Amino acid sequence: MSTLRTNALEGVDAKNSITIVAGAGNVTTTNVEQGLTKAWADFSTSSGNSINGSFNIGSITDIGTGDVYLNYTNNMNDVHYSGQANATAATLHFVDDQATNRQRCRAFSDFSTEADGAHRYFLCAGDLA
Amino acid sequence: MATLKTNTLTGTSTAGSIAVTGEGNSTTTNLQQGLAKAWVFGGTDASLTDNFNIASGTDNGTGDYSYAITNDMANANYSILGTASNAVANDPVISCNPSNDVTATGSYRLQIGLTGQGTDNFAQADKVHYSAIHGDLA
Repeated sequence: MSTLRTNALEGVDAKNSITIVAGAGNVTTTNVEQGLTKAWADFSTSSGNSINGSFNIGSITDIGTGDVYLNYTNNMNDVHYSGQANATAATLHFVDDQATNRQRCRAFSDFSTEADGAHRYFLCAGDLA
Repeated sequence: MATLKTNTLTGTSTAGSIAVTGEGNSTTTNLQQGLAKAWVFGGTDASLTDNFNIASGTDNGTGDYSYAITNDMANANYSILGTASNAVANDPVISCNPSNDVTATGSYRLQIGLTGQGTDNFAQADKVHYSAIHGDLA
């Protein structure tokens, strides 16, 4: 067994692109940078907004009941990334109004009523700036 | 092109932290933080069709599933995403919600339901489902 110890990884040909063998047949490669989640969060909108746990989320902006912007620490390259939302004790949950510096997350208790909660979840995959 | 062969990656300053240059070449992201720590393709009875880092599934009732994590999370504040497969043409929107306040370091629970039906517009239903978690490993 070998262990590589390093603080940072960069591609040689392009510093933002490293391939790794990942296929079940030990042949197919995938891209490390593209495969990494660029932000995730477990946040609360109850009793004010707070972050329970997160990566690359700098702050929360309150828009209304069950409705927030999650503001990135390091921005995305463009608005064409995959944002996903989920929530406990909610009927509907979705993302909206995507921007390079933040993502809007909304949760509803029914089709028309936005609702706060102690655990709202978010995930972002795409290209970093 | 250069090829590095190794079985394990470890941070030098901090074992669990390695920076990776982002796509735009202007910032870095974190390798460990960006990796999904578990995922599951779950059957209608919580059977494990395929998974990573999931030890077992439990069928708690209609549309109600728990999954035990093989290598635990560091705390219960991790991100849980999920969706479900719905082969019934006229069913309303399907939702895959983490169950409230039962997330633990070693397990999490999902409730699958159809919106627009039943009490509070959410009627639990047995569906094939998919989930992934992101956060800090123990």
